Amino acid sequence: MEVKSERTEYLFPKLIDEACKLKEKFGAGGRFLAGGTDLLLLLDQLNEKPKALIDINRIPELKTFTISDSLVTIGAAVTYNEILENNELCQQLPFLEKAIRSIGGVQVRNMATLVGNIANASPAGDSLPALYVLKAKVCTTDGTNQREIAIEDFILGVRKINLKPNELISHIKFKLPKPAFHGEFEKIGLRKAMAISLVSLALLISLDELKIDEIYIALGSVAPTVVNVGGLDAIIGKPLNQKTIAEIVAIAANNAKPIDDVRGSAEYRRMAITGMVKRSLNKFIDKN
Amino acid sequence: MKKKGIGFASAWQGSNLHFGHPDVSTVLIELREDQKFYVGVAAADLGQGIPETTALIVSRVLGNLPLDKIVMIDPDTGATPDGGATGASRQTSVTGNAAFNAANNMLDLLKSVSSELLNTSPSEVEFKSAAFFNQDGENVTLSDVIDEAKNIGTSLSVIGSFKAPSTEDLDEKGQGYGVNQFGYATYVAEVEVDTETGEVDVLKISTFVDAGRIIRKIGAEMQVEGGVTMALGHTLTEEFKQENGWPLTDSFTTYLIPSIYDVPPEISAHFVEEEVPFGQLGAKGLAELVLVPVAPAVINAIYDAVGVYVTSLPATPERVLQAIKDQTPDL
Repeated sequence: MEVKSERTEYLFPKLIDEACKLKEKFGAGGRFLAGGTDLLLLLDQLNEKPKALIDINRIPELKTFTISDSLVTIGAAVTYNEILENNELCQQLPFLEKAIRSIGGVQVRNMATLVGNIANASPAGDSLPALYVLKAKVCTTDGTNQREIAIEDFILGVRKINLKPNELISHIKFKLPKPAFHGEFEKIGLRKAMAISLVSLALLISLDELKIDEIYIALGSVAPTVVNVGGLDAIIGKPLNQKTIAEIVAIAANNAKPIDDVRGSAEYRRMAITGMVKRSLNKFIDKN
Repeated sequence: MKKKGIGFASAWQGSNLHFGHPDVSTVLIELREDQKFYVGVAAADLGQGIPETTALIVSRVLGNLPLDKIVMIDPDTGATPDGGATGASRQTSVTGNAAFNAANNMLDLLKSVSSELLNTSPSEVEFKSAAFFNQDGENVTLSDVIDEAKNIGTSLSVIGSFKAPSTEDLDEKGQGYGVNQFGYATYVAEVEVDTETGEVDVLKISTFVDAGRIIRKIGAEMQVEGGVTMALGHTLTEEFKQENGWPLTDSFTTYLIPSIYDVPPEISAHFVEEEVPFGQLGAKGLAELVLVPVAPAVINAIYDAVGVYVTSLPATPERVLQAIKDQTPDL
């Protein structure tokens, strides 16, 4: 029988450098904690007792949340509700707001962080499709060196991320899309709140004289990671009508490799993607 | 595309203990030094509000006595009389009638004690506004009556019981007087179905419920709303899945009870007050009845919207979409 450490140390570093050194010291036995809404459930599920929980909430830099020259920077300790309180961001990106509001309930959003959703690396993370279409960059640090990694290169698989043992995610950043862009977020769960998504979708689209100028779609819960739909170049320049929507649906469905699980079948997820892509594009048509 | 539909369903359900089990409750009432009536009955409150209903019945019998003059003692079979199980939708009907009887016994006792002070006979005493009056308009207070009871050595403590009409076990042909009352309900469900994802939004549930005379309207309405919500769980989201005997839905993240967002924007409760022919209250059982029509009404509404019947519950988006695809393979 495996002997587990008797106690878990709970540590509050005040500097990034200190946090990284602690992580290095405890290795795999050290876990960073921001909101803990995923981590504590995970530790319980894995019956894992870490040597140290390293609480990052007292590091002032990680509370950074700025919008400057269209560049949005969100620190690792910024909660969902702190993001929702920012009117400028919510007005500019209503689809990101909708995605964040669909996560948990008010109490969960008081604790949980956007960066935590990335670090948890679940294909059902509901903020992730929006961050994929916004081309968010994940910024890491070991106290001395910084890296900047595209979100789709940072999340490698289910609970697998591109983070070194002595590194911390300090923040994420993304550019606000130009005003011509329209965003949508859709999700299907088995109930209307506090449920893990069966499928989710984020869409960012802009038209030029009623023809598709740019389009980005990301799908959640249909593969080990959120999927950036590839192959949409083929429909650039086409008018946005039901025929083009059918083409986009086919391209999106091709990108999805869903599995059967306790919540639903792969077959249903494939059909639901079709419905969601159509619904989100038709909403955009209705708004024009 | 989203399509709307309307569905109806009706149900009836027996309440009170069935098939020969005696259905009895006993309620204790004591008037104490603080001039408040302490009411005790071991009738468990599962949220349905039996303490509030009991207090209201006692208040009405005692001349609409203000409710702050009535104290409900916490139910405890070691300290309060047995109200019987909270089940079979029976507490309002059975404990309610026992409370009615106990309150009348209390009234008789108080009239008897006060009649001595008022130099009249008990039948000439009137109890109103927490005071006792004789025919000449002279009055004594609760405090006077409590003092007088001590002087004459009488306890101001009574019980009242009620037994619902006896039922009998059914004979070998399934015949007999097995159930002493039935409640009836008809519901109308309005839904919107997404034909391409199978998602069902319940827009409105209108309920028409015959549960006899309604004793406490807000409590009855809450039971309808709670029952509809609970039944929407088994209609749309709650599913116990297992594999080789092991539960797969082993937490509330996979076994999904409705959240507040799953409650329809409107649940209306309309009561048809057909009284039962026994006891003094006219009340019938409500608690279980209000769940029964939900699933068939919603399933009928889905049929009205998209032309297919979902034949196993819950009607998840997957089952609804599968039923639509089976009907129209080319969609």
